[in-house]
Order: sequence, then structure tokens, then C-alpha cells
Amino acid sequence: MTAIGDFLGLALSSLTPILIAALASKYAERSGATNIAIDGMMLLSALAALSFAYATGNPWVGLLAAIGAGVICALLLALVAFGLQSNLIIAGIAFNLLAVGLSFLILQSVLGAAGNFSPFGVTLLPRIEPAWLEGVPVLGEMFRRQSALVYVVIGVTLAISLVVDRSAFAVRVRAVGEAEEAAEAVGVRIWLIRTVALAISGAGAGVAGAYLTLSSVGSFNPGLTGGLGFIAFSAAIFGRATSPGIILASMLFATFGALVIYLQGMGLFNYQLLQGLPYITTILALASHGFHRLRRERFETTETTSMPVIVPRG
Amino acid sequence: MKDVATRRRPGGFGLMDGAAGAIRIVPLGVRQSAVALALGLAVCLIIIFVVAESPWDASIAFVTGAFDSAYAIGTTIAIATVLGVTALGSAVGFRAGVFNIGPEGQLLVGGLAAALVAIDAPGPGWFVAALALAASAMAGALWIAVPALLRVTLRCNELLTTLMMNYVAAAVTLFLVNSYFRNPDAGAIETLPIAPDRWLFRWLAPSNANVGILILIALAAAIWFWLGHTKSGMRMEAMGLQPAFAQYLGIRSDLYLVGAMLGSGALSGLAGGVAILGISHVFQDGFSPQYGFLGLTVALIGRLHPFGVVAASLLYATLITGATAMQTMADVPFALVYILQGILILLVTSQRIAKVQR
Repeated sequence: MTAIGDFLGLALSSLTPILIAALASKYAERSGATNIAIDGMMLLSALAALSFAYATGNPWVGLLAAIGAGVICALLLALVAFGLQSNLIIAGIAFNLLAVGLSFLILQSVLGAAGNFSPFGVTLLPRIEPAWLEGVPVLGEMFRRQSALVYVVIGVTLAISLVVDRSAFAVRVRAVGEAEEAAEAVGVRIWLIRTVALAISGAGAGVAGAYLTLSSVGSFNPGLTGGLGFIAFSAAIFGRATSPGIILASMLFATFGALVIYLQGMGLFNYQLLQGLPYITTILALASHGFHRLRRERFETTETTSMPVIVPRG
Repeated sequence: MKDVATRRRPGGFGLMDGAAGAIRIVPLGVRQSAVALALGLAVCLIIIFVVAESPWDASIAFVTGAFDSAYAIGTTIAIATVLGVTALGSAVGFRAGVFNIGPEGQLLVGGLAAALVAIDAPGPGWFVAALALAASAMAGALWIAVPALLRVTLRCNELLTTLMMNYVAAAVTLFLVNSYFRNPDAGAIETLPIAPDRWLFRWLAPSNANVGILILIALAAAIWFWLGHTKSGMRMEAMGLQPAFAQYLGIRSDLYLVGAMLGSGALSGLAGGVAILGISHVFQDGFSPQYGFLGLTVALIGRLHPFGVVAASLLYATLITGATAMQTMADVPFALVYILQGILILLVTSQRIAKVQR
């Protein structure tokens, strides 16, 4: 029982950054403003979280700084995509490369660290010991000493899937994504909706970045995310940009992420080979997404192929 | 590939539904590349002036570092060779309407294949080197085969799958070297060194400038001829511009798509082989300072034209050598190259800048 609980605890802490980044990016994906720069935003906000938490001594300021950094990154991306009229996906990829370079530069020139920034004595986010789960077989171990951010993310997840999804904003987002011209005709400002959606995605990536540096080890290096942002992005695609879908997809990826850590700890498999497992899972998930899409389309009657037959009476 | 054009949602942005092949890169003129380079370098100089203690020395090192000595020039040419070959691969992909952002992974497996062949195969040096380069190209093609097949059978967007294959390549090459081919005497994770008679011939020794530059020029000429003057090349380009229309004309789009992707992967793999046999002479962790991603930028600056790519690779290589010199002489990190790369991609694909110029 303890082993199951420990594994689920590991899965929960792997789930947190993927879930919040993927769920927050769903409005961007829905509105047709695909945010592929989640990874770069996560990286820069992880750095912002650590350095602000270190400078002020308060990890919650670090979290706010991370969210701010994520939103600023998203607004910059929106500015480039809608202002300079670059393709959003190419701009996103360029932004990811830019983020790696920028984090190197800040690390070496501003913080004076060679390749790894681990400030001494930085306060991390508090870990919560839920007393009321004490002694409950599996849940007790699962929630033991999880970061406070885990509870924040659970709360945000509930808020998004129960409240925001039913708001007028969510409807506008879908309208912009599915019928751009119709939305424009009724006076929805498309660029504004897309920019706000991107900013939400940036905020989610910011929380994920803060989780990476402020939950267990207060250390940053430019390879910190290791493609986690792309895994979150794939979770959003695989979950078809719906809240339940994204939650399930994130759970799947997090389970494999936790499996890697768990098997590494047992020393059963080769460490380097295991590192590739989450990415192979992602490719398989995308393949199955494609397979189901093909099947769906095969049985779908398109707009023009079926005409209602009206038989005149008499 | 059927019905791609009609399946696209009116928004046309999202990756979620039937988005494979939604991105088209259209070359945007020499002046756009020049404007992008000028603006990008200006941003770099601003960063240098903010960051460095002695900005003048740093910027002079950045701009002239590549021409300081014969050795620096040789290093620049060696780097340009690798960049150019992988950028040709990216350019072929882009022109076929493929967004292959996995050249880094293809380069890694290509480099490992070249190293393994060059270490073990018997025979005269030049023959083994040629064999190793062929192996690297094959490995690169093999590495993109999975994304290519997923693209034509299940319409999986190659953007994400090729990207994921980068991480898989890093894990798998490290695993193979560490478990089976590791040099027991070396501290780092690396293979046995390659015997000097199997290196690509260095015509400016002791620098690493090698005969690979001839391979690059020959490849560029061949690709230029193929795209502009052969039936299959033109068909591929038509498929890249308008897949549905090409299909309507009777061009077998899927076949050309897979061919272009395999070719793109093979060129990136070959670049890995050239980097191993021409520069590092051993496969080690981190032998590529992101050549694959830099090659994407070079392909865009070179306007996806084979000779433009060669010129852009020489230009970008001078910046890389300059940044290395700057890092040793002044306190500005090499990472400036990566920042420049991101800015260049943004500017070179901006439609707004293109409009201003007209």
C-alpha cells in the first residue's frame, strides 16, 4: 500500500506542472492562437521565480513574478505574431530558442552563475501536511508533504473546468477559433481574444515554471524544463483542448514521468534509455490522436455531401 | 493527404484539427534577410553594451573574431560546412511544405553512426570516411522515417513528432555510447577517438577547415539543379506549395512528401557525420552546439535557396566564431548566438516587414 501511495505522490508532483500549463493553454488553442512557446515561457518564469524568491526572501513573491514573467512573454509573442504578422507557430519556436539564450545570458551576466543557479538559503514554497488525511491508506501517502502549489493548481483546475468554461469568455474564444468571420461580424475583437487567451496560457506556464524551481529543489539551469512544455502542449492537443480531455491526458503523461523516476530509483532499467520514455509516450499519444481523428472523419458527413431531402406532399 | 485544403478550419491557425501541412514558408526576398540581419545585429550590440564591462572590445571581438587568424578562418569554414549541410536539409523540407524541427536529433544519430563506422570499419582511410558519411545520412533518414510515416498515414503534425524525436535521440545516443561504445579511458561520455587517416582531409591544418566544404557546394549545386531543372524537383515544389492541387494534377503527394522528409533527415544526418569526421573527431556528449536548430535559422536567412543557404551559413559561422572569441576575450556569454537566432527567425518570417519594403 505504501508503494502505491508513494508512486501516486510522485505522479501527483509530476502532474502539477503539466496540468496547469496544458489546461491554461486550452483557450489559446481553442481560439486558434496555438501557443507552442509554453516551454520557453516555463523556462524564463522558472528563472524569475527563483531569483525573485531569493531576492525578496518570500516564495509567494517568486510565484507572482513567475506568473508576471509568463504573461509578459505571452504578450510579447502576441505582439510579434499579430503586430509583426509572423506565423504564430514559427514565432513560438523562435521564442523557445530565444528563451534558452536569454536564460543563459541572465544566468551568466546578471546572476554571475556559470551553468547552474542554486542560491544558498532560498525559501521554497511551504509543504503541506494534511492532518485529516493522516492514516488514510493510499491518499495519506499520496498527499504527504506535497508543495502548497499542488493545492493551488487543483483549485485552479476546478475553477477553469467548472466556472471559466461556462463563461461568456469561453464562448467567444470558441467562436473566434471556429468561425473567425462570424465572430468578427458580431463585434468580437479577434486579436484581443487571442491575446487574452495567450496571456492566460503564459500565466499557466508561469505557475508551472515556479513549480519547477520553488517546490523541491531551488536550482535553475537552462536545460531545466527538458521539453516539459512541449509535453504539456501535446497534452492539450491529445486532450482535444477540452478540460476533461486535458486532465486525463496530463495524468497519462504524468504517470509515465513518475514511472521514469520510480524505475530509476529502483535501478531496474538503464537510466539514459528511461529518459526517452515520456517523449515516446507523447509520440504514441499523438499517433493515436491522429488515428481517432481519421476514424471520426470517415464517418462524418461534411457540409456539402448530405442535402436534406424535401419531398413535396401530394 | 486528401482534402487537406477543405478540411482546414476557417481560422486556419490551430494545430488541433487536421493541421498537418498548415504552415507554408514562402521566401521573402533578399532585402528582408538583410533587414533582419541588420536589426538582429543591432539588438546584439545593444545587449553587449548593456552587459559587457568593456563594450568596445567585446563588440570588436564579436565582429572581427572570425578573421583574426588563419586558424579562426579555418574554424569558421569548418562550422559553416556543418551548418550549411543541415540547413540544406531544412531548406528541402521547408520547400516541400514540411516543418522538420528535428534536425538536431537527426544530426546526433548521424554523428553516432559516422563515428561507429569510422572507428571499426576496415579499409583505406578515404573509403572508410565515405562509408561513415553514407552511414550518417542513412541514420538521419531512418530517424525521420517514423514522423514521416505518421504524417502520411495518420496525418500527425510532423512539428511535434520530429521535435519529440530530438529528445529521444539524445537519450538513445547517450545510452548506446555509455553502455556499448564508451572509451574506458575518457572521463566524459565519449567513444574511442577516430584514427587521423579517417578524418575529412584538413586543407588548412591545424584548423579544422576540411574537404566537407566541397561536399556542401556540390550538394547545393545538385539541389539547385534538382529543384529548378528536373521534373521530380518541380513536382516536389508544387506539392509543397499546394498539396491538394498537386494531387489533382496527378502528382503522388504522399510519395514526394515522404521522399522530401527522408532527404531532409538524410542531409541533417550527414551534417552530423561531417561534424564528427571534420571537427570533433570523436563522438561525445554535446559535440553539437545545436547545429541543427542553428541550421533552421540559416535556411530561413538563405531564403531556402541552395546558394543562399551556403552564403548564409558562412555568414552565421563568422558570428559563431566571433561569439566564441568574444566569450574568451570579454565577459559576454556565447549564448548571444542563440538570442540572435531567435530574433532572426522572428524578423525573417515577419510579413509586416515584407510589406513595408514593397
